[in-house]
Amino acid sequence: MGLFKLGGVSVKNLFSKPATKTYPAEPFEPYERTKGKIVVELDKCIFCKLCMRGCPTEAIDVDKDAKLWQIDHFLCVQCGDCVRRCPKSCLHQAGMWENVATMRQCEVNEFAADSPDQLVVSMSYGQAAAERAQKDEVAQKRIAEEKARKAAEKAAKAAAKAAAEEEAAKAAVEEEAAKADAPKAEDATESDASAAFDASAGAAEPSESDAPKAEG
Amino acid sequence: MSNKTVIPFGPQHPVLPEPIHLDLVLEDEKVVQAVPQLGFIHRGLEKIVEKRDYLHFVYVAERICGICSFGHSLGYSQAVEGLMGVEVPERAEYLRDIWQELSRIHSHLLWLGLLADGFGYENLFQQAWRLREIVLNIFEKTTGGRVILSVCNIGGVNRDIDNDELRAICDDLDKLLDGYKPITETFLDDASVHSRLDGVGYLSKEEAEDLSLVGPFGRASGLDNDIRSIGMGAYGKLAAFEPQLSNIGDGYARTEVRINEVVQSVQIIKELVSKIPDGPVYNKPKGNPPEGRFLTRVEQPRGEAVYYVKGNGSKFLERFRVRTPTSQNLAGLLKILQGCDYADVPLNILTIDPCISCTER
Repeated sequence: MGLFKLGGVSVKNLFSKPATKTYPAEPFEPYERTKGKIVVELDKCIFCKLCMRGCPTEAIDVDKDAKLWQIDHFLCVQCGDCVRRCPKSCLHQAGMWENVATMRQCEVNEFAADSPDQLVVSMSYGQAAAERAQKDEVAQKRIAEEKARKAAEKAAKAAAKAAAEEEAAKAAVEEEAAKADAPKAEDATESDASAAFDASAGAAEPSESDAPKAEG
Repeated sequence: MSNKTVIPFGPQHPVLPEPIHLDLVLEDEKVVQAVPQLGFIHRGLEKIVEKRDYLHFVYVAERICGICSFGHSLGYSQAVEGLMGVEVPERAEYLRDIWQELSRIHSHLLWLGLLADGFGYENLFQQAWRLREIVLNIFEKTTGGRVILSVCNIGGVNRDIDNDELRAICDDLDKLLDGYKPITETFLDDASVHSRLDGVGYLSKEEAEDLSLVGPFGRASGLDNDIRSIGMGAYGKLAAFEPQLSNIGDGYARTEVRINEVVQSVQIIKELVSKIPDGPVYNKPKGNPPEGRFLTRVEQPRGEAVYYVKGNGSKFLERFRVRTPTSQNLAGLLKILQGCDYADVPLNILTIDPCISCTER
């Protein structure tokens, strides 16, 4: 037994650097894996909502039509589930967390309306992405554009389908006419049948030639 | 007839890491009885399991306590894996046990600091916590968090540590042991520490067995209650495991057991690092937990913790129950407080290593 066993260490400590860092004078250097604020790269995002489904606190909100990606940083517990689930790896954990606010806010990421390559980050006050899209003009415009584009696509598809059906009907009738010609030259006993075929082919031809003229 | 006075202790007190209230019935400086009151940090976490997807609940389970956080996520994951029959890859088991041993080292260093602070030796307190920073930096480098790791998941672990990093961890722990030597000499040999800890809170082996004490609190009285001896997970691959026992039974013995456990944990980590196999670290669970029940045990730094889950086929578990080591040791605390001096009460409470936030989830 003795007294003041820590004497050697204490004297050494008198003459060495303190163990504490003088933050914020000295900057904080996080490690590569240090958890922190969730950051999104919106140009890679496909709005699949996998991050929204994986979040245990429901901090993330995604709206596909309005192309909005929103997170409430105060609900986030930095578990990293969203980062692992993202199929395009566009979510990252920045190693710092300096979030000071006087009101509850969500961070909204979207593209600017007039220049769709420019990312805009704004703060909204606690609204879900879909709700915000309803109230926001920029997002509304984008939703309307998206709807118009989808409608145009649908119409184009329907027209293409109708044209394809016409083509198919045309091809079927042409085949019938070809079949009618071939047996006629070879078989004399079936001349009645072939005559009937002839008549029907003949009847079909003029009606068929009429139809393209009407369309053209 | 002697005069009895009732003095309240807690819920706020400098030696307590978490709030607990004790009404001490005193007769002229000797404590006759201690009446506890719990509930200051109850958050209803066991009820939340009915409302959260079983995959998301692991993040709630690890927030039961800050000091033994990894052990809770480990226990929950082991219980659900047993219920669902998910197989954990071998490398994940080794990594989990490495993190659990690191968690034990940091918890014991924290406790040593609090004990020194409890008897007023602030220099020793800060030295112990400076060593603890080495472990917290290892946690941050490998998992991203210092206290809440978010790395254990159902089916394995979320991150891998490659073998070079593991060797770097072993080198860091060697540096920790170099700095640890003067601290252990102070705790075990210094006269002022001896005068505070010798004979304080004595429990014989029979009394410890009667009260079914767990953890280093029981091991200081000679009870062999270490769950790591069973050999679950990667502990079964160790060449030999002997729990640290002492038969002195007082506050000094409890300190000695915990000091030796730190050194033993570093040796266990080195052995696991030398034996770790290569392979995947995560095996995604499929479907929902079936109907059934499962119970598993984990050796937390404070003792044996029991985890029980009950599933009913949906994605929400029906019941999740944790029997934490401190809730088992509270009876032992009340026993050692009977007949002790009033000035020894804070130290007696500290020697059981109370983690009240685990006790009342």
